[in-house]
Amino acid sequence: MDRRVAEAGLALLIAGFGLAVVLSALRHDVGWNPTGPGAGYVPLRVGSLLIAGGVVIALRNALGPLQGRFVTFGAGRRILGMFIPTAAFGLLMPWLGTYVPMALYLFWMTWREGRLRWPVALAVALLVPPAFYLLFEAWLMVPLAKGPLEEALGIW
Amino acid sequence: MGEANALLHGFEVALTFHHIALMFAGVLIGILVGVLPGLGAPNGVALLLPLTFTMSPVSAIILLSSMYWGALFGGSTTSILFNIPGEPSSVATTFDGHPMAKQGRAAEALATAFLAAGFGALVGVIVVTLIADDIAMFALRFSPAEYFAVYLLAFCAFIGMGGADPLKTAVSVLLGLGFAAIGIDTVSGEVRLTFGFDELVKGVSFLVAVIGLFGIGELLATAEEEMKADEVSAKLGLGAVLRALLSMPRHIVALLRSTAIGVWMGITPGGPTAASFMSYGVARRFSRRRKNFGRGEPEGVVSPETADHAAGVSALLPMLALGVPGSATAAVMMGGLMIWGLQPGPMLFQERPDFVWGLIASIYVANIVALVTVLSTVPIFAGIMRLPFAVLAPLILTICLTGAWMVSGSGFDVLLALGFGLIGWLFKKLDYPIAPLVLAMVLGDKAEDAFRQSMLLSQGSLAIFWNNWLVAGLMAFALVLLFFPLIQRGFALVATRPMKRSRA
Repeated sequence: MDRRVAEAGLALLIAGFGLAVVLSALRHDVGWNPTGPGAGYVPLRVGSLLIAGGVVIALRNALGPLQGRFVTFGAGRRILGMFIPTAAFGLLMPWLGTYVPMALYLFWMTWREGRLRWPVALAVALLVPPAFYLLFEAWLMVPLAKGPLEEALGIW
Repeated sequence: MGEANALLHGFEVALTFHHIALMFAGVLIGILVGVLPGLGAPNGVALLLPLTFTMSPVSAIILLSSMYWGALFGGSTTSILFNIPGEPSSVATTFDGHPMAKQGRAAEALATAFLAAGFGALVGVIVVTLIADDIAMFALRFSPAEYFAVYLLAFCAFIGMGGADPLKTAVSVLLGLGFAAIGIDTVSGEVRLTFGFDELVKGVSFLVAVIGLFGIGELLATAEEEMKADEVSAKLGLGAVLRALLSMPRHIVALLRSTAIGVWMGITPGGPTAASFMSYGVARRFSRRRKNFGRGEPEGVVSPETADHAAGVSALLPMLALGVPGSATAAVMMGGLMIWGLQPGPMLFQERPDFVWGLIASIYVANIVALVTVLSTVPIFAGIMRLPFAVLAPLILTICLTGAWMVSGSGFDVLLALGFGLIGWLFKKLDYPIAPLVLAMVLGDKAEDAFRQSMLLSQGSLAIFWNNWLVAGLMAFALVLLFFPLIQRGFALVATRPMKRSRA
């Protein structure tokens, strides 16, 4: 994929966000009223400018020359190899709590991506979550997400 | 001598055992954050912020600002030793710092960088001390119209002077304003722009955005580049420090010029990153030793480092006195101030002098603490970078995700942080600047309120933005900055035309 396709794509995405802002601003008062500009006044203008900016950047790239490859295959694989497990960790956090997905995530990442030997990866995965618990919950008293395991263990 | 008394009182606040301990803690966390890829000053502050909610505001700001100084020092360490900038603002330090290190002058490069940075920070805080009160007094006369003009000036300064593509910078500012508008409208109380998500009623936290944009985005970008640490050993003896100290007077022109650039870019929001690039660029053009630039010239280390720290420190001045942060990190800190229940701006100097002057005094002390700490601990922190990135990255990502959860204990925030991470990676890839987005997110509601209050005062007439010399001057200056790239191009055209004619 050429870089300008990515440029144009992101620009259109930005314009799309601008459109969403405009559409939802239109549900509010976008003009003047006795208490000054309404709730939709500023968002309508911000959204319109975003559409304009996004379209101009998209056109500039669509009409411009080729710019070379956007991501190489290997780089794309490395990015997805990092992002997909991280996203899974984030998605599971509200359901399973912080610690179980954290251990699974760290094991997977250090073993598969980091190429540590599995006992070392396992040690990382088992030692880091308790360290987080001691640092944040026990010492700094900031609650992290809890799931069924924490409930069963009585850590609430 | 109002400043001297106030500053002395500030030192009383800052020089307690508790606060000095916090400075050490802040500086150490800061250096760590500065050294680690993907963790930088803005998201370091964002991650630490939820932990300060139970502290007193003075203690909290001392911890956070000390972390900022530590991160600025830490960022240049990896630039020099590994050719990997730990912070965006130390990218320019790699140009000459790493070649120096490869020639076996790593210790000299490090000591030069730290001392130059310390000089920049010191002059920066002296400037802050001397003019903060006056600017705050001046700003007391501001009505909402002047405030709106100042916010506009901040946005325009980024667009015109930030160094990135002006259109992309403008889009970045507008996106920030759009995100800031999500949730409850502070004037009318209406819920707007939630796009059907109930979770968005409380708005999008700028902390979550910063963790995603700077933290996750940065790591994705690093993963893509398959980070290869081009390592040079880090031993820093007292001899090297002394030699670097003795050679400092040779760089006095560069030091002063870079400090001036840094202070200017810090106060008119351009931020440390733009300041360090600009300072390096100016030095390469005007220095007597410009031929050596890029091949390990100490002045090429002095210039960006001095400007970087001078800008970092002076970025706190407009944050305190006007409520307009001069850098992304200052923006996050200002968000923190508001969470702690303080209103940044001129009234802060009247209502909470202990806070303002305690912070300013702590900048002096904390930078000395940071300088000593970084000089003595560099080898230890450099050792962390020997861990493979594929092991380091998941640990940092774990901190980012739990940090996003800690902001308000919501799973939705974690997903938002991941989304912002993708945006941050795309922005980095396609050269959109991130700092303006963060600044606009923090200032968005305030700018909108100022605009709407002005309109209420003038009953809907835009003339209120031109009806006295102060507001008109600010607006005019903002417009000049906004169109600066066009003006510059215009001048270039005018300048080249006579030459073409003479050729013809």
